[in-house]
Amino acid sequence: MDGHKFILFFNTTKARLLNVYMGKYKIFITITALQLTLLTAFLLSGYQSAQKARLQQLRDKRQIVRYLGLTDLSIWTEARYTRHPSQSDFFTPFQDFPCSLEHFPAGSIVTPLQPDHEITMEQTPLKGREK
Amino acid sequence: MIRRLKILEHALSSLLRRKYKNLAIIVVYSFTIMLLASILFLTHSLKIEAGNILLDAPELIIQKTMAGRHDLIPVEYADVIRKNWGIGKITPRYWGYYYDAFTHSNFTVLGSDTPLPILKMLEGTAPSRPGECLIGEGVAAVRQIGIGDELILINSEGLGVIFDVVGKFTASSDILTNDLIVLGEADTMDFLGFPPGKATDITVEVLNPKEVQNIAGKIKRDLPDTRPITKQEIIRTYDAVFNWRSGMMLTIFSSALVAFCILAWDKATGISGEEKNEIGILKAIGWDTSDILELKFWEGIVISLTAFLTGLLAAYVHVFYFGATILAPVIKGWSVLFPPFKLIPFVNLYQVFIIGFLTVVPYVASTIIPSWKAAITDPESVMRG
Repeated sequence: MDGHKFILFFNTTKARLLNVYMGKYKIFITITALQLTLLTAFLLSGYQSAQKARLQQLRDKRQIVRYLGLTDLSIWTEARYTRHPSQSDFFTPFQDFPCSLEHFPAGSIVTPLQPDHEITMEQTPLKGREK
Repeated sequence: MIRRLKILEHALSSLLRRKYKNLAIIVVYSFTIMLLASILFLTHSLKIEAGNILLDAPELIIQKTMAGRHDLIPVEYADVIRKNWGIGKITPRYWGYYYDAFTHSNFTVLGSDTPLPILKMLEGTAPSRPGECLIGEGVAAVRQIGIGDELILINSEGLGVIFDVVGKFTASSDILTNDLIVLGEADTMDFLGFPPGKATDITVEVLNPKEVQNIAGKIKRDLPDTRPITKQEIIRTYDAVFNWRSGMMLTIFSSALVAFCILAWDKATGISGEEKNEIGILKAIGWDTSDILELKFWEGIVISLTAFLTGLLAAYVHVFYFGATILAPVIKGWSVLFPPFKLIPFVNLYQVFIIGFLTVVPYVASTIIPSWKAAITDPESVMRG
């Protein structure tokens, strides 16, 4: 069987299979069922790992919180009120507080200042111990 | 049943005739659902994790305020607090911030003499002697140091101080310890330049948790220049923080929703001449209006269900396997040290159903309504356009 005949045979067989044995609706239902199965598997394994995490990871994290007396998550380190939202000032003029209105609209557009002078380790005198 | 499957088969053939257009719709639709679901998965998971972890936060924290701002608290305030009934251990806390000019990042310096238990999230030990420190993964990464190395920090007098790294928190605790440097209490006071007899704040153990509010009120009366912060307030703050962050996320959320509305609106405002022609031919060869509506219903279901499931799967993988890489830059802000998200997959099924209801139903409706308009018109006039 030469190449052309083989491709023709392959295409005809595929078309027959798709049309006769495997209607388009069967393909659609199969794909949807696969997606649903995958999603269910994700959700179930997620639920299981969440339960496991509750027992192990969260227990360890809670111990760190208890022993060190931590109050906040270390997510945003750019400002005091984002690093420790629960400890931030209640009410102060020009306050630092989540959700406080921006006093200067430019604040949301202007990038932070880049310092001109870099501090190097060599310039820094050491206390007590030799470098 | 067979009739229904045949109509579904016809719907699929009809969709495949315009495969590139429909494929484009599925891609846009899936991406929209992925964004919406990612935001909900991420914020919900962070909120639940914060709520769980912070259950062991101090029951009551007493801050001193001066001129409306947080100020260092005199340690002798502990004696006044101790006079109240139902109070356990009272501990002054010494902590503060350190801007690291070498790496342009902010660290949190915490003084603790409490020996830590053996934890999977801790390599090495906690500082037990002066000049030792325990650091978070983020600090270790930006300073490129590990256990056994030295950490040089500049103190309040502008002098460099060397600390030996004796312990490191592993990456799995990043959400709590990423920017943390734990020193001994005396080292912290010396390093940050605390005046004698002053602490950052005081934690109070309350023996009966139901009495926290009462005790907080009494302390506020005895020491009017203080601000008590209860554990419930801390947990509530995180609820609000993630809602606020969700508020910021709402920008993305609403953009995605608007994109989806444009998509649905485009479908609802009219169908192409080719589709009208198809409806006319089907009517002319004997299809009922109800058959045509069922056909269009299946067309809508095929597209929206495929996109919905693809979007949800992509969102799950994006948030819980790839650490929400697309959304992270939005949440990160200006933070130099930002922990990679290794979230525990807490999923709220109610939210999944809400996304499904808000996206699948309008799309199917917007597919059926214009077709219904075409289907009730005379076939000849429909075919003539």
